[in-house]
Amino acid sequence: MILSPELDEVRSRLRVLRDRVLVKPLSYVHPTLITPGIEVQKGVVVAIGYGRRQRRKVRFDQMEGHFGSSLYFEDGEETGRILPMKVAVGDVVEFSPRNVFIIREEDLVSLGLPDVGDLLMVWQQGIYSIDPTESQSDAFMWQQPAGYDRHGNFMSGAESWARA
Amino acid sequence: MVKFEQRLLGEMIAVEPEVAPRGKILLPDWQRNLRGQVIAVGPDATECKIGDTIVFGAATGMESVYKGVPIRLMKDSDADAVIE
Repeated sequence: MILSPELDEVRSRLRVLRDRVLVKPLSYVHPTLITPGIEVQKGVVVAIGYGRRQRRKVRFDQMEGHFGSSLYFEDGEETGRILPMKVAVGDVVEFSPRNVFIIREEDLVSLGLPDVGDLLMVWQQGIYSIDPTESQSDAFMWQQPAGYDRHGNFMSGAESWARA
Repeated sequence: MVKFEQRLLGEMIAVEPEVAPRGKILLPDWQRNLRGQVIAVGPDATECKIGDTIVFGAATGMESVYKGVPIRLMKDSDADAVIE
């Protein structure tokens, strides 16, 4: 998906670090996975970091002396290897509602950035899937409530709809 | 920006959080993002430098007070983005 000029400006001003992904949420209801309180979210990737810095795995014994019940956590020192990102700018992704940090639109506006609504900071591990067909389509980006143009201005009907 | 005269170790950084404009809906700390200015970095910190404005989760790091100014000590890897 080609980003709108406003989102492109946000992308150029924000340097996202490591494996974080900056996402513009889209209004979306999953057709089958509907659970009260838990909803799969969908969004367009606005900016991505350079990749995940790999760490050495550390063994954790759940029971002393029982090697069968060991877990390995990637919690050691950094190996120096950077694992590349699996998502790209413009992808439409589904992600978990957990571990999501919200950048409010008031914060963006106070920085002099365009008003693009709330943005979400997601880790790459929290992204479930990439939708390849919607990533090729621009239809989601230009969704707007009837009667308003894409900047949120009310259109009474006397204006030219070519502006919307 | 407060002058931080202590020596940070490893990849720790010290950030002076900005007072963010309060929105209409208050978010919990585990969903809220803050931004602040980096006032000191440790020798192993690679992501940001002194003077950068970074975005970080409100629940990350340790809150502290230095010379009467509220600061936050966190790891370099806890920063989400740098505003340029």
